[in-house]
Amino acid sequence: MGKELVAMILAGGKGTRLYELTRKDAKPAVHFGGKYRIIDYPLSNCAHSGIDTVGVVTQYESISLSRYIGNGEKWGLNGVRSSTVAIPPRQTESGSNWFLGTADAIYQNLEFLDSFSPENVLILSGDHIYKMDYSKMLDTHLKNGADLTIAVLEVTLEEAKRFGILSADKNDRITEFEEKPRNPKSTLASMGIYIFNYRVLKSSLMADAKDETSDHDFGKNIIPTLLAKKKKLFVHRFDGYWKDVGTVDSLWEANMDLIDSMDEDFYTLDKYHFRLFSEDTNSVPHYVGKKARVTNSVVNQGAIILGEVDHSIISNEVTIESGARITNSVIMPGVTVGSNARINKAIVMSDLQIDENTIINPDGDRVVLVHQGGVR
Amino acid sequence: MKVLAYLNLHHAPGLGPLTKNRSSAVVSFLGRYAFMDFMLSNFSNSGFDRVATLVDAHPHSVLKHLGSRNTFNINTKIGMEIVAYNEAGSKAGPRYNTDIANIIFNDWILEQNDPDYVIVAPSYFVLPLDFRPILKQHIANKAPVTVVYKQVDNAKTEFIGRGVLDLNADGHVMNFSRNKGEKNERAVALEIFIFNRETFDFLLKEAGKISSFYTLSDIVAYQAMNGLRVDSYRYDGYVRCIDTYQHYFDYSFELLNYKVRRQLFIQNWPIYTVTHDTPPAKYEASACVNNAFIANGSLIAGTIQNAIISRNVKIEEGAVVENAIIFTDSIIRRNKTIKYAVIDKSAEVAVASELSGTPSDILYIRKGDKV
Repeated sequence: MGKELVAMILAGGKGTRLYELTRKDAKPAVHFGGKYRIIDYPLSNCAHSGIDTVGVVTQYESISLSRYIGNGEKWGLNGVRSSTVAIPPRQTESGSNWFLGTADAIYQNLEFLDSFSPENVLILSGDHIYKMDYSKMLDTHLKNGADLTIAVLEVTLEEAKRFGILSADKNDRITEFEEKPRNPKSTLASMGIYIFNYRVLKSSLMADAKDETSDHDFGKNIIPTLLAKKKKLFVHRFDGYWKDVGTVDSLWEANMDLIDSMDEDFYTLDKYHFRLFSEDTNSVPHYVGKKARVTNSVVNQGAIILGEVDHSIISNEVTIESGARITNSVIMPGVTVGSNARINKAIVMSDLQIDENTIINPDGDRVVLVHQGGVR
Repeated sequence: MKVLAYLNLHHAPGLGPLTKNRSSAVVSFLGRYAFMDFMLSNFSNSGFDRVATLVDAHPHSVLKHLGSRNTFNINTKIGMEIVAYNEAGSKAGPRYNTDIANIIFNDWILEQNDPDYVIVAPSYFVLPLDFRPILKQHIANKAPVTVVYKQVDNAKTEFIGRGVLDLNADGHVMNFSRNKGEKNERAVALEIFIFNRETFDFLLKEAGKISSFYTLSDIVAYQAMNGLRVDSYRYDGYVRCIDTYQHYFDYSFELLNYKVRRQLFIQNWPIYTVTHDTPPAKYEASACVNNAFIANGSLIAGTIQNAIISRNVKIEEGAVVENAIIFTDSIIRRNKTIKYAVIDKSAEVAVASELSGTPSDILYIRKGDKV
């Protein structure tokens, strides 16, 4: 008997629109929320959904990501029947190939999937912020006897232009799919989360691999082809928080959303039902100084705050010197902000030293990224 | 060279209400740690991977803290993080429940690891200690036993009841006695020993011949008077003896001062503890926090002045917490005030509008109580 559901996380992308943030780290390894990395979300979701086998397909800057993933211990995915494997491109009998697209990344790892004889395969992205129980999606998938189930959420007509947009009939069966339509016919957006019947997945990937004109992409090629073949494609509706963090703006927004969401219910949910797992940094509890002021903010262990912080995220091992003022910003791990510096509406990259009296983005017209070489 | 390290929880001073139902080794410290984390981290950072914790009482509390995880191990297969409890000794009564009896009751640990050197250290002395230079000196001097001490100048008021050493010019121990607070200048024994294996085996055997009530400290002191050479190693860094409820409180607050804190938390010497994966702390718009440690998972909407707040604590709007230590999962409700107090785990201050102790009489709220 094979596994009912095996997960594959697509974590190979460079994330060019995150600029310096992904110069040395793959996008899924980018810091989030003062304590986490983006990939903690899909991995914690897997852990809470009863999934015990996860392949993380890596490519861009794969060493640091592989090291972070390890054997899955950080998410408890290292139990007796569990298996968590980071999979970079590899050399095989037929040569060596980089992954050409999302579909190709899975195609090149069919042998890995075969070894678990899965009934169904869950395909996830490593760059979305959301908490989701995939077992509910599997229920939808099985109930419908679907070949492919796509998780969707309602967006506005304006937002719909940026997503893969699906139309579905009254039974939630997908009738149409369009990538980033200029004139959206529906407001059901694909979240890039798929459950495939494994036989269907395998045969469509093998056919796609032979097609030299294909981009080997799930959204552009696999889904339209299955739809054209009248396969059974259904949607699974999700109404929680979900955000793609592919740009500096959206990453900043997701961090600000996290601050606003962290109320009593958030902590209760986290404590009893759906804890987000991550690395523990062995840091001392954070210290807030005699003249400090911290409001509307999220602060991780290891931080030392002597200045003022409002509506910001302060990560582990960050020091905010006295007189410094941080507003509407995300300060990543290991940063020191010197005395009387002012930082507004910024993402400050890890381990930077911000000199005394530095003033960053006082007008706050847009979000800025502070990196080794300056301010973008 | 194989080293077996025992974390010795026997014969530790109680901390009043805090140790009524738990070992002092697992009492919450600085909002995140248990006292035993410090010595276990010292073992780990010194490269010792075979560690046995000798538990005298309340084994449930120690097991709960350590869990089944290999928090402190370097190699999770070769390494060993075992809890040794002497059931027979604890049933026979406190006098029989000695560290020596525990080691003998669990002698398979010694046999299986077959160490060349045995280290024994307590958890109630808190210090960052690198054992490697001590072991190096012990081996270079071909010492049968080495004890670690601190030369202090405040023994009239601190370290009361602890062992003190008289040393000769070679640093050999001439006499062991108890500190009764007669004078300030003292060589205080930190109850940390390094033994050669043969010496250790010999002492275990000899202790049984003399008295069933003998502890390791007793037999070392006795044999030192009877010709056993005991070397010493002088430690000069931060050390505090967590020996009373008042000291627990005072030493906690002292660490809010960065100059003190950086003596305990030193570079490249991480203090490990069991992770709980709690989210970072959140400060609401009404939060006003000064001079405090705040652990992860806390939700702060009230006013905090000189305090230590542990994991998953809630301080509601209008609540005031001053000079207090609040343990995990506790709640201070809206408009309630707490001063000079220790609020134990999962307690809730919801009824009394103000609960105040004094600097020398720290109020204590029991685990799970609602007041």
